[in-house]
Amino acid sequence: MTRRAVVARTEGFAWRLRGHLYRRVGDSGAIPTRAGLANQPGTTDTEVDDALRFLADSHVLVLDQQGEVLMAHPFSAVPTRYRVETAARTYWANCAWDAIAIPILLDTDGRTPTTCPGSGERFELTVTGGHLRPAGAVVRLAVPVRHFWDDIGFT
Amino acid sequence: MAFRSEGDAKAWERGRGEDPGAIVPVEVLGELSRSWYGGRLEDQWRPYSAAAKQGLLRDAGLSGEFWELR
Repeated sequence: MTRRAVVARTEGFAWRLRGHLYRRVGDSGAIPTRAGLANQPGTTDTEVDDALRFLADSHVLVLDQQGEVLMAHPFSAVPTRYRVETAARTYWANCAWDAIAIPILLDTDGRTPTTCPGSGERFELTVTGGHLRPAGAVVRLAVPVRHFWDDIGFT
Repeated sequence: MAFRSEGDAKAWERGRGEDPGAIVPVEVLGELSRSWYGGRLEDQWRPYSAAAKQGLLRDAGLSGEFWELR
């Protein structure tokens, strides 16, 4: 097999793995581990690691230092200040924007309890039938979009 | 970060001496999310080009230097 064919095969597997990973998160609420992703017939650890590296280099996923998936936007593998609750399960969002995006991506209703840093008021970001509430609520982004990937954990 | 109102967000920025960020109504981010994150559960999804992403931002009404990708 030529190098070009190997690359094409790796990339094809990576894109399929990405879709599989996102559906797993949607169904379970948790980002699967590398071992969990490799636990499929005909899939090796090396194939999974190569695919995850390709997806991370493509700015599709963020990996931690051990090579596990840390972020699959809008989902987070680790607890954050934004915990999204749907009728079926809960999800961790990377940021306030992602807390809005998760119910929309999953085409479901969702609510995210939070506290306004300005007033200290407790409130809930809700997505109901695609509509955002509460009216008047805002999200503040600190970093211009062209710099998002300078430090993707801080936007 | 999510704030209950634009006034709360601006007061928080002033109080902390933060550079002004972009303060976006949740309805606008909901609209942007539909296009930005649409289709991500499908194997066929691929990242948008920078030009396409710029178009999604523009379509959501987000323009100006803060929203420029290049």
